[in-house]
Amino acid sequence: MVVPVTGHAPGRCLAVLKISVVLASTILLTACGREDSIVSAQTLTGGNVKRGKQLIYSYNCGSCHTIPGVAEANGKIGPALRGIAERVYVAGLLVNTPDNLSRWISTPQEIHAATAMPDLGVTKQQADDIAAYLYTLR
Amino acid sequence: MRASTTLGRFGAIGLVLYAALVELVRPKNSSPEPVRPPHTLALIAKTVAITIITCSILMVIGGLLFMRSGVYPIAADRPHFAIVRWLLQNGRTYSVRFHSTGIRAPNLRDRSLFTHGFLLYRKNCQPCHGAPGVASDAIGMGINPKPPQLATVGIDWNESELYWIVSRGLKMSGMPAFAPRLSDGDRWAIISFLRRLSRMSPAEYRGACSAVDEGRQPVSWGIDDDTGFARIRAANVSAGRKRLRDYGCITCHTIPGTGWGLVGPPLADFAERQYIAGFLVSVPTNTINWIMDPQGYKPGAAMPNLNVQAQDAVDIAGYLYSLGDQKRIRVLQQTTSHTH
Repeated sequence: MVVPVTGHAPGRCLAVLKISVVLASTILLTACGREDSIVSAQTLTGGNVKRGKQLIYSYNCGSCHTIPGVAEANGKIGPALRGIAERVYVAGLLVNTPDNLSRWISTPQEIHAATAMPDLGVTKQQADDIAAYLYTLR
Repeated sequence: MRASTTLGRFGAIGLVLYAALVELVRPKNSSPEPVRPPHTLALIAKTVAITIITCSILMVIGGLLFMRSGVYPIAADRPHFAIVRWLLQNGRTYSVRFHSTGIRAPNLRDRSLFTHGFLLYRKNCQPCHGAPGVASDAIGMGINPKPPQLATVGIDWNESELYWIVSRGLKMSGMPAFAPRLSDGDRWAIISFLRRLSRMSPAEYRGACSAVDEGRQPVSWGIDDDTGFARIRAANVSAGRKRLRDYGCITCHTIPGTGWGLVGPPLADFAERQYIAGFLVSVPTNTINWIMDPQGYKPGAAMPNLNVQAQDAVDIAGYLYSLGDQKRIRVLQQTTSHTH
């Protein structure tokens, strides 16, 4: 009879190995999936996801919006931005394209004069960066 | 006193204390006969005491060294560590509550207080806190902790606490103490105005600003509008939930308890939201009117007119306002119910 080095039966070793492989590949694939969404968001918008996340914090967007992944972003004044990457419309008026989202972020009151969202002085590149981060929120 | 001198002194004291402790517990019996070990319990007690004292001394020294190194990040443009934020926010809440007990708010329903409060708000509060549709200025944007939106601040603090915060300020936060520069009456007027602010649309705020700038009095605060809370109290909430499916709302909106739509914004925690459609203050009357005629309120909006019947709109609103924490609804009703 084979005496396993670990002291466990061989069948159990195999089970542990299988579970490890499944777990590892799940983690790796999820990470790859996240990587993919960052790359595609940046390609679509011409912005940088990391800079966008920092800008969201700096412009205090979180005081009005609940935004996953941004510290202290738990505002309930405007809509939650969870899943905004998959939403069809932005602000209920514009079709959700990178350009439209960027325009809305930088000049909301030109698009809808009555909106509660203020003009924050966000530049075009900054708006693209913020849009890039938002497009990772599925 | 310079930090390194303090460190040196602490270190020296610590070492001396440690040496003294070790000396204390060292067996002093030098007789040639074998010494019996002291009673086990005493030994344990001594060991525990020495360990605690030693660790405390090491922690203090370690902490001071860490501070002296300067490594801890204090830039305002990055958030606190979660544990630090938790400590600061909770500490602030409990401290304000504790120190503001005993403050009795005067009658804040006087409408003339609103105008006075609005003028003070615009000058003293708006720069950092912004206003409906108005951003904070550069100073307010750069402050850490972030100045909160004051339209909803009444949800987290009662009026005595708000008065205390405005009067005494908050250390290390950028929130100034406005006493004694602003009088008692001034500060209560601001608190009174916050009640009105909680129901102000961007258009109303802008209108009030223009009125003042053009020398007119912004007296028509228009809060006699029925907020509609009584109507939804009589609503059929389960019917409302069903109507969301019947009218196809769920094809566009993700609504807890009904369905999953990705065209418009999610409606989870609806009762907690301050605005609907991006510009209407969320009170039942506005919600019901919006549901019945979105195109009338926001021409070109993606939300179509679905010919929703009046009673159905009331029931739908009743269901929506049951979603999420009810604190905002309660506070709104309290601060507007008897306000002429």
